[in-house]
Amino acid sequence: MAEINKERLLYEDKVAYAVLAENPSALGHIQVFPKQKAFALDDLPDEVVQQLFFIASFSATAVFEGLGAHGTNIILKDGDPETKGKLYIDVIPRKMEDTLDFKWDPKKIDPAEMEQIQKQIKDKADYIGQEGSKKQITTTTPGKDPKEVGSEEENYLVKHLYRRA
Amino acid sequence: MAELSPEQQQALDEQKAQCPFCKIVKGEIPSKKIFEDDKVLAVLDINPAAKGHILVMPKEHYPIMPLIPEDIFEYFFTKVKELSTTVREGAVCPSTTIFIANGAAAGQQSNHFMIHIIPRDENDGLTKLEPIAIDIDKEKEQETYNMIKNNLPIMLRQRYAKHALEDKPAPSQQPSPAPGGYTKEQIIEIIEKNPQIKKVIEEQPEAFKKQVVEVPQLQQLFHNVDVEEVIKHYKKEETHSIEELLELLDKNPNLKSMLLYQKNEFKIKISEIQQLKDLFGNVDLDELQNRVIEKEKFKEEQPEQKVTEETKEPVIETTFVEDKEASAPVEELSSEEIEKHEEDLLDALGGKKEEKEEKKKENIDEDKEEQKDEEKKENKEDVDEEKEQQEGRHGNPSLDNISNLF
Repeated sequence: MAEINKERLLYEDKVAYAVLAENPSALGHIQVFPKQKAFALDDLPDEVVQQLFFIASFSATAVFEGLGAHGTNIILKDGDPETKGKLYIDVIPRKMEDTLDFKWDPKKIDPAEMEQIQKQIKDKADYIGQEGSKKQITTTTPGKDPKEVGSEEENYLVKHLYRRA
Repeated sequence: MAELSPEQQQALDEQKAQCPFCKIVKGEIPSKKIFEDDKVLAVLDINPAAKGHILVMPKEHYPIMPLIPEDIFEYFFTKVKELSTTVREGAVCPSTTIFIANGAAAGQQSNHFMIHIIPRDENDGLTKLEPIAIDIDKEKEQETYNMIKNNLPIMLRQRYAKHALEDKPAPSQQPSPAPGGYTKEQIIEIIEKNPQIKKVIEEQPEAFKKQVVEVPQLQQLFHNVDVEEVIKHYKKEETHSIEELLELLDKNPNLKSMLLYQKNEFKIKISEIQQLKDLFGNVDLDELQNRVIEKEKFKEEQPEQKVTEETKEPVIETTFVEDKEASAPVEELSSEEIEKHEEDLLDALGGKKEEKEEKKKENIDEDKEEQKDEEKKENKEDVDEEKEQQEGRHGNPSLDNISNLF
């Protein structure tokens, strides 16, 4: 993609890239983009979607560690026509004392409506994995040692547990 | 899955036992299920932001996103993609917001990792889900950019390998650093692959420690790890034999003098200087002293084996000088000190002073002998050099130059 702002580019591979947000909501706000045009995740191959979320997850870890963020919000608008086919994931560093507030007010929905919406969505969800595309968990690339990832994760967990305590 | 310490595992088990979402997964708490397979569960959120708001969770309890194993992670987000499409269709809305809260500060309410899929529509009033831009200090932003730009590609190295750019192949496989640096185990793994580093750590821990402080790359490497721990890991219980130490003392005449004549000061030096501590820390100094004296006596009795260039120098008529002669240039002791030590030495050498002196003088006169000895000395130096190289000490303050420490 020609329009990547190299001055804000943090990471780039064949299918995706991450930049520092042009209009950030916090210091260290990162946005992750697929390289191909997409209004919705459904427009993208599974591997690209996986890669986007991996980049988002590692970005969250990067700001957690590097900026001392207390947490992160990862937000994606899936199918938003306003993105004009440039779907992206926001990774927003959070601190206890920041002024951001994504907390929605719970909506009161009566039980009958809940039943109804459950049925509507479930009916569609029943098709998931039924088009012969059910993915087996064999996606780990050979030669990769999951332990290597493990120790990173462990470290993150330890810090996280301490931070919570 | 990461290997957790028993304490961490226990904490995690306790978390799991309390976790309402694990109970939902097990069916112990009722829920309005949307989708379920062996790894993923999606249910309607009971406190929804909008009608059709669902929660998608791995069935296994992962407190945070980075703890999800890679294969589960891939599977999970493939399902998220499918479920988001499903929600758009089922709840009849153009778009959804996929929302993840990592950490309490971000609104994470449960220790069971999950994501929200919230149906969205124009004018749905859910403005809270839209990030609002704020002003950021440009300088701080640049600093932050540099930091993330440096760290993120390293952290993503393995993922990059899957989708590497053609003109930028994936870097060679190395253990990725943990977010805050490598773990001790990873550091040791790296060191094991680099025998040179290993040698330095084993033989010159102090020099290595200094390097870690001074070299930024090493600093980063050890960001999360106590250097002492790593050094300790490699610390051999090195006990130098008395013979080795005697040889060493021969090469370091001022050390030897100090041992013989200023033992208390020698002791202090040992306690102060790590390199000396490593060498002499476990040695009985009285015994060593006696052995040195014995060896000196032996040398005096067979002087032709020990004569060096220095014997050409005018011989000062004190017994002390003989010791000086036995080896390389020596830090001068004050005349008072020399006097002070003279007595000791006389005692130690048991009155063989005159005999020795005579023999020495004889040697000085015999040019042939001297030449021979010079050759010998040169050979000995070669051997020493070789030994040094074998021991990988070159380029750093070696044990043979220990005198420089004074």
